[in-house]
Amino acid sequence: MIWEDARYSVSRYWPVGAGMATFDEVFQADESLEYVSQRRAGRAHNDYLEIAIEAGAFGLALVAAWALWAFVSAWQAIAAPQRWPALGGFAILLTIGLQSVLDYPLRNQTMLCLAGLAVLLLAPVASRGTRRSGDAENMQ
Amino acid sequence: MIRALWITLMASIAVCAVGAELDRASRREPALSAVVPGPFRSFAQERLTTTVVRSGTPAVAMDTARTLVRRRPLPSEHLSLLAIAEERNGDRAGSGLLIQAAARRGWRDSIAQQAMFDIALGAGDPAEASRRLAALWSQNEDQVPLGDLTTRLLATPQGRKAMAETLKTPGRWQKAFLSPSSENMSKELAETIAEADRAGARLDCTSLGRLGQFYAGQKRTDEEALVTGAIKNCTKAD
Repeated sequence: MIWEDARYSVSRYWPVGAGMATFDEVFQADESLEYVSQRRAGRAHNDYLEIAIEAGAFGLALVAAWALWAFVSAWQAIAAPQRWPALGGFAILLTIGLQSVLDYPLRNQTMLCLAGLAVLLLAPVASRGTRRSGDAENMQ
Repeated sequence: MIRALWITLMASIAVCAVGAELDRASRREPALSAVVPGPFRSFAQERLTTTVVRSGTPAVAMDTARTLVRRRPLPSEHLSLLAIAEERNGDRAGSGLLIQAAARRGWRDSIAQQAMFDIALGAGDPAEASRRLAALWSQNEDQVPLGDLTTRLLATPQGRKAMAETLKTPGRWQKAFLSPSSENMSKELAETIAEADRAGARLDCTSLGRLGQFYAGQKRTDEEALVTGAIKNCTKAD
């Protein structure tokens, strides 16, 4: 129910977005009478929709860039000796990404820290992979 | 020199963080509104304006409400507060325009919804009035005279027809609207329910059952019969 009205909010503020942390205020104006009750929807319960409302195309592009980085890094990690910690980090990020379809895990401080840790697990393997290919080019 | 700049930068960030967090905290703790420094007042400004707009001098009310709308222009309630301040300063036309603008921003602001209900009813637009009344029922606030507003709308056949049409679209507000209460149990309500049923509305079985029981308990057989007729086509809530 929230998503239906939230999609309308996205179209109203696309492509620039309404501004970060404005969902609560923006959404109230676009709610259908059908769904209005005494309880307020403080969140979209779909972080991608909420980001689209608040940060527009730029926000979604940033999310896509993070997703791309995570997938490429995980792919590179498969051949690396430290693949299991890296793939563990990727699994955490993937889980968070999937849960964001139904909720807003990264708006919780603890989950944000966990996501940071997952990025750290994944990042060294990715950077080592880049460095190794750079070294190979230098040797040639 | 660099060290001094660094310390100044860190101190500035700390001041901003404390100001912004105090402001956010005032959302849950209204007493904190007074201690939030002026430049950081956003949520705190809403609390202050709510207090000042009715009890402060008209000039102060206007100044406070304008600051609120400048800082947080989106919420409907803020435009309503500015409308009250305008009204207190004698600008009735400006106040009316602001209330209408507030009413276009959702269904939750009871001040704007009540005002639009009056405007729509006065202008002979019962359909719009019925939607505003539905919005007010969705919030079910104690200070809103819901029974009185409902009686006014349902007093005319056009009003009952408009409300019956609005009842055709399902909504959470219907549960409150159809709940038995002494202030809202007129014969016109039963007639509206019957008209909605004839128009194809599928109302909640539990709510209608309670209404029927209430009328039966009061020995109001005509109303009970009207509601019982609608129960045949009712729908069970999930």
